[in-house]
Parts: sequence; C-alpha cells; structure tokens
Amino acid sequence: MMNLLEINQRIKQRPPFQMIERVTELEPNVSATGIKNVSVNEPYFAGHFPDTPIMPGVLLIESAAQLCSLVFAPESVEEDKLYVLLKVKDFKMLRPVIPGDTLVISVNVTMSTKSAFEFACVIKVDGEVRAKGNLLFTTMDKNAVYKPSQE
Amino acid sequence: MNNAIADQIKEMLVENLRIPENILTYDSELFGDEIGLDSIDSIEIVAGIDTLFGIDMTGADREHFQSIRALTEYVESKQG
Repeated sequence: MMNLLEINQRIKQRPPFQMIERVTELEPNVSATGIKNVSVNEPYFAGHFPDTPIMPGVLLIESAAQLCSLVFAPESVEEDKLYVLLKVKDFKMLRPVIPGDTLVISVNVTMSTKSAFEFACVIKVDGEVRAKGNLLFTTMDKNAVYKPSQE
Repeated sequence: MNNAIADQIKEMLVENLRIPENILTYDSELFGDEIGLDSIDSIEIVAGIDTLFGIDMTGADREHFQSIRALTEYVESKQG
C-alpha cells in the first residue's frame, strides 16, 4: 500500500500528468494494483471531447505504465539508469472511461530479463475490464537520453 | 547448425515479433530489407534469447543478429 506522498517519492510524474493516486497492492518486481480517480476537472476533458468527455486511451496506457514503474524495486534500479517504455503491445480500449470512473489498474510481470521487462496490464472500472494489453520496458543510461541517435 | 535451437529461435521471432512464419527462413536477413526489424526488435531478441537459453546477448556484435542461423551459432558458441 502506498499513498500519494509515498508514490511521489518513487516517480517524477506530477499533475496534470499523474495517473496513479494510490497503490493498494505491491509485490516488488512481480505485480501491483493501483487506483486513479477520473475527475471532470482533468484538463484533457476540455478538448477530448467538449460535448462527450472520454479519457484518452493513451492516458490509460500511461496509467498502467506509471504503475509498472512502481513495481521495479528501488534497490534493483541503478542510479544512472532510467526505465523507459519501449513498446505497447496489443492494447485494447474495450469501453470508454468517463468522468466519475475509478480506474483499478493491475500489472503483472510476464517476462523479466537483463534487457527487457514485460507486463500484462488490465484496467477495470466497477469490476469491468475497460482496457488491457502488454507493455515492454527496458533500461537506458540517463546520460544517453539526449544524445543524438547513431542510426 | 543445431536445428532444434534454430527452430526455437524461429518460433520466438514469429511469436514475439509477429514475423509471418512463411517468409522466415534460417538465412532471412532479419534487419535488412527482407524482414525489416529495427532496434526495438533487437532488444526483444536479446530478451527472447535470454528467456529461452539463459544467454545474455547484450553488447554482442551486430553480425550475430543478422539471421536465425547467426543467432543459433551464437547460442551454440555460448553453450559450449
């Protein structure tokens, strides 16, 4: 269990880009369940869409990705490394998420190697699956993030 | 070349990278015009080889990634 202040100690995302507000279950390097309350006050609803507010699918993916980053045990994260999202696999948005919904996000590690980590992610509202898919992460050197590509 | 290892690698490429099985031979050029894999795919190959054989290909030369045959020979050399 982690509250918002504890989450803030582990991840750098902040409003309006904070997509996990509470962690209800956490087994480091294995799985986690977290919550995001979706309010009509979220800034993206002003444009997506003015007449029919729907949470953008990419932000559902972001909510799962932020929870995944909390699964990595702090002691297993090297200081000069950054976990980055590498690939979004087979994500489905089964039904719209709208203001008033509470997202219950579950992520489970399905592959863990030295080079990559994959999570199976499920996002539910009121026990009903709204989105699901897999996310692939890798680590990269922080000082390489802004270096030009060699390809 | 050990065909059993090659077939395991082929299955991993088909399953993980969605390469159509019918166009993938042991000598298909994985990163050239033939199959067209990219750097993200190479990370998935490294992860797949690690999962299948417990061999870490991080930092291995590009030549070892060029085909199923090259990957198989790399795995064989590390299994010793």
